[in-house]
Amino acid sequence: MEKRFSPYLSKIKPTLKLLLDELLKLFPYASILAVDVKGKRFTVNTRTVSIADSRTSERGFVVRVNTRNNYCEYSFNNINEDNYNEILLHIVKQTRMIEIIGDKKEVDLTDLPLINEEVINKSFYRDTLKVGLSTKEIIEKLNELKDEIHNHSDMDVNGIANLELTEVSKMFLSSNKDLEQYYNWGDGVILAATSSDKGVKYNFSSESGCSLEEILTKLKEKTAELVDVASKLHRARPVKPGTYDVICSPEVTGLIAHEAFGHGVEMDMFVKNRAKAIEYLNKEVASNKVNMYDGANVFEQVSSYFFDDEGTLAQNTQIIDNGILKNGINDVLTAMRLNVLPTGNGKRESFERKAYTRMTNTYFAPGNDKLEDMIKSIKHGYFLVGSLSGMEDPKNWGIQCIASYGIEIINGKLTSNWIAPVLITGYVPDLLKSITMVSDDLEMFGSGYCGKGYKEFVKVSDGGPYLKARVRLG
Amino acid sequence: MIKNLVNFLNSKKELYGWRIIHTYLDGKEAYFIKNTLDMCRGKDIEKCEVTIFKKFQQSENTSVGSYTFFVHPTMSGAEIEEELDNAIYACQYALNPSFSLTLPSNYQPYPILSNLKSYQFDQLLGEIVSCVLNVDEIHESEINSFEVFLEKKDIRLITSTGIDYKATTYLGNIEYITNYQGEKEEIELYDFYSFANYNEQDIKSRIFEQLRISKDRGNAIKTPNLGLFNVILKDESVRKVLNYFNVQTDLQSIYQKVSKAKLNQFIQNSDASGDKITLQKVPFLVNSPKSLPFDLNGVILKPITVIDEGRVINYHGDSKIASYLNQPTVGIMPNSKYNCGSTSINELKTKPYLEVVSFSNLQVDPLIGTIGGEIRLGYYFDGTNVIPVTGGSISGNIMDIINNFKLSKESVSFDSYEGPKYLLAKLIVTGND
Repeated sequence: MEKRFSPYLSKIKPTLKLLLDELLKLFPYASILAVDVKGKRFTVNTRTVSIADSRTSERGFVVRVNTRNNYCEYSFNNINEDNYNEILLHIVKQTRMIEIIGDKKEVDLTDLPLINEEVINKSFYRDTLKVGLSTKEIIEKLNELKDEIHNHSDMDVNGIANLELTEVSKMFLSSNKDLEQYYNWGDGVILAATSSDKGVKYNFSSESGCSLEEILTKLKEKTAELVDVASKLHRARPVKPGTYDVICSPEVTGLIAHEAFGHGVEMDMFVKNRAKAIEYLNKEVASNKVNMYDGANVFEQVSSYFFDDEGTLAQNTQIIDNGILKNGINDVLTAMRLNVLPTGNGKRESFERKAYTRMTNTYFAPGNDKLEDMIKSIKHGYFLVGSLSGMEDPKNWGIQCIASYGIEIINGKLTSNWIAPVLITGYVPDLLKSITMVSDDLEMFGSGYCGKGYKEFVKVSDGGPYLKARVRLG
Repeated sequence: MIKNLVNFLNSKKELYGWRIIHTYLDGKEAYFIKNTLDMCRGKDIEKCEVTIFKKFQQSENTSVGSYTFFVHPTMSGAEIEEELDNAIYACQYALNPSFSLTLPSNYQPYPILSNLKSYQFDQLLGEIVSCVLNVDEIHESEINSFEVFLEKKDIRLITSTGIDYKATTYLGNIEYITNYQGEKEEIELYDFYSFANYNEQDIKSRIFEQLRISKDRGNAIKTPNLGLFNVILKDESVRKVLNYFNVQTDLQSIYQKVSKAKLNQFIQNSDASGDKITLQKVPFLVNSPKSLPFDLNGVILKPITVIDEGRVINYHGDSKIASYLNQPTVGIMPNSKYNCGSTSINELKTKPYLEVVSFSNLQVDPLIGTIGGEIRLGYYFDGTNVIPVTGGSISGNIMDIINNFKLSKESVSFDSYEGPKYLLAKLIVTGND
C-alpha cells in the first residue's frame, strides 16, 4: 500500500485482528470496518474566510456480529492494545439487546444465515486529486474565484467559493477478508447571491471528480455564466402550471435518475415491500432509449470506491436496459434476504451509522442525439437547468425534483423568457416513457449529499446526457 | 485527553485563544421490518472539536485567523501536536475582522428536563418498541417498518478565557412508515418524530393518526388543478414556512447581506391583513432535544423577542457576527417560539380549501422565499364535501403571502418549534388535469 493510506489504521490493525479473533470465538460471524477520513473545507466569501476539518472527517470502528441468527452492530472510536478486551465486553453486552427486545411477545427475530464471503486479501489505491497546492495557494485561488464573481457583476453580489478535499482510508476485516483502500475526492462549489429591491436570488455551480487544479480551473471558467444567471433570475417568473416538452440539462437528468429511479431500486426497500420496482423487474419502465446505471467503480467521482462499507467489491450495475428494468442495487444483508448477489452498495453516513443500500454514481447513459436538434424539435417548452433538490417516493413512484430555472423554447429556439424555480412532479414511468431524445453527452455532478428519508446523508454523484421528455411543471 | 489537550494549547503562546467542544455520545438503536427485529446497534463515541484563534496585525488593522479541527481519542501526542502546528500555520490564511472571545459568566448547571435520564436505554428501547407495536389497529392500515434511536450526549465546553460549561442532552427519534392497502395499490406515508421526553400516549396517538390518514391516501383521488387557492399547511410545513423569519433575522444573513430585514422596521407590512408574526428565540422548550443553556461560543442563552407583531426588534445568532455589526450578544439559540393567531382551525375551514397533511418534501427557501412540494395527501373541501387527494403540487413565494397568511390559534410543539399548528395562505395548486 502506498504511503497515503492511514498510518494509524496500519498501526492499530494487529489490535483489531486480536479483537476479531476473540469475536470469532464467541460469534459465528464477525467483521470490523475501520475508517480514518481526513477532510478539509475551505470557504471564501465576500465577507469572511474559514478553514476547518469537514463533516466527512472521522476515525472509528464498527463491529458487526451474528448472534441467534440476527446481526448486531457496535460503533466505537477508542481502542488500543490494552483495552480491546473491554471493547469485547461492550460488544457482548450490546448483543444482549437482542434478548431484551426479542423476548417481548410482540417481537419476532430475524432468521438470517451467516454472511458468505469469498477469501480476499487486497489493498487498493487511487489518487484522483493529486494535491499539489499549499493552503496558501488554495485560499488564493478561492479568492480569485470570489473576485471573478464580483468582477462579472454590476449588482450587489455576495460571492462564495468553497472547496472540500477528502482523503479516505478504510479497512475491512473478517475471517475471509482483509481489505484496505485509500482514495480521495474533491468537490468545489461557487455561488453568487445577488440582491435587488425585490429580494435575493442565487445561483451555484460545482465541479468534482478530477484533480484539484482541474476543479479550480473549471470553476473559474464558469464564473461569468454563474453571475449572469444569478442576475437573470431576478426577472424570472413562475411557470404557468401545466405539462410541457422539456430538455433536461445533465444536472436535471442526474436529479431525475437519482430521485425518480435510483431510490426506487434500492433493494432494502424491496425487503420492506416499500418499492414498486419489485413488481416491474424485466418489464418496461422507460422508453427504449433509456439506459441507466449505478456504480462505484466506473468514474473517478465522489462516490467511487473499491469496496463498500460491508467489504463487498464495487461494481457497475445496469439498472435499466433499453427501457427494461433489469437490476436493483443492494447491501450484503439485503442480497442474502433476496437471494441475489451483492452489488457493493452498502454505505454508511459514518462509522457511527447503520449500512443501508445506497446509490453511488448514478447516471443515464448517453444516446445519439445532438442538443441543437433536440431544442429544434420543441415547438413550445422549456430548457431546464440546475439541480436544487428532490425527494424519492419508491413505493408509489411520485416524483419531486426542483430545477434552478428554465428557459422558454418557442418554435425550436431558446428565448429570453426565464422561469424559476421549477417544480417537476409526476409519475415516474410516465416521465421515463416520455423520453424521446437522448444526447451524446455525459456529465457527472458530485456536489450534493443524499439522504435516505430525511437522514443518513452520504456523498453521491449523478448525471447523464441531455434528455427530451414531457413533464408536469408547477 | 482533555487535560493533555489543554496543556498542548496553553503551551502555544502565540495563540490569541482556543475553544474545545468535547462530547460523549451513548446511543442505542433498533431497526424493525413490521414486528421483526432487523438489527440492533449501540455506540459509544467520544468527540473533540478544537478551534484555535490567532491575531495578526496588518498595517493598522488587527485580524483574527481561526482554524477548526477534530482530535480523535486514538490520536497520539505527536499526531495532536502535528494537527495543532498545521492549524496554527493555516490560521494566517483564514483572516477575519478581530473580535473578543466570550468571557465566563455566572453559569448555573443546567437542570435536565428530559425524563429519558431516568431510564436504562436498553430497557427504554424495548419499551418504545412495544409501544409502537401496540398502537390500536386500523383495518388494512399497518406499520411497514420503523427505527428507534436513543441518545445521551454529555457536552463540555472549555475555552482559553476560563469557560468550563457542561450539559447533558437527551434525544429520542422514531422514524416509521405506514402502509394502507388501497383498492388500486398499496400506499405508504412517512413520519419522523423527535422528542426529549418519552410519553407512551403521545407516540401511540401520533402513529394512530398516521395510520388513519394512510387509509385516506389509499382512497384518495388525484388532486384537481385549483390554481391560486386557499391552502392550509400543518405542523412541520408551518415550521418550514415560518423558518423564513428565523433565517431573515439571523445575524449571518444580515452580515452576508442576503436578508433585507432591518431593525425597528416591519418585515411584514404594518397594515398587513393577515396575522402578524411574533418570534421568540429561546434556549429551552419542553420536549425539544436541542435545548441547551449556552451556545458553543460560550454565550449564556436567555429568551429574546426577535420579531414583535411583524416588526424586527432584535437580531439573533453568532456572537462574533454580533460584534462585527455592533449588535448586542444574543447567541445561537436552538429553539423558535412563534405566537399563534386568533382564528381556530374550524374558522379557517369555512371556505373551500386544500389542507395538505403530507408532502414528499415541502421545500421552503428561507433566502428567496420560494415554496414548493409534491402532495402525498391533502384534503380538498369543495364547499360541500371533504375529499382526500394525492399527487400534484403546491407552489408560491413567501413574499406573495407574507401580508395575508392566517395562523391558527391551535398550537403545537415538536423538536425545536413551538407555534401555530396550522397556516392558511393563497398558493398555486397544480393538479393532475
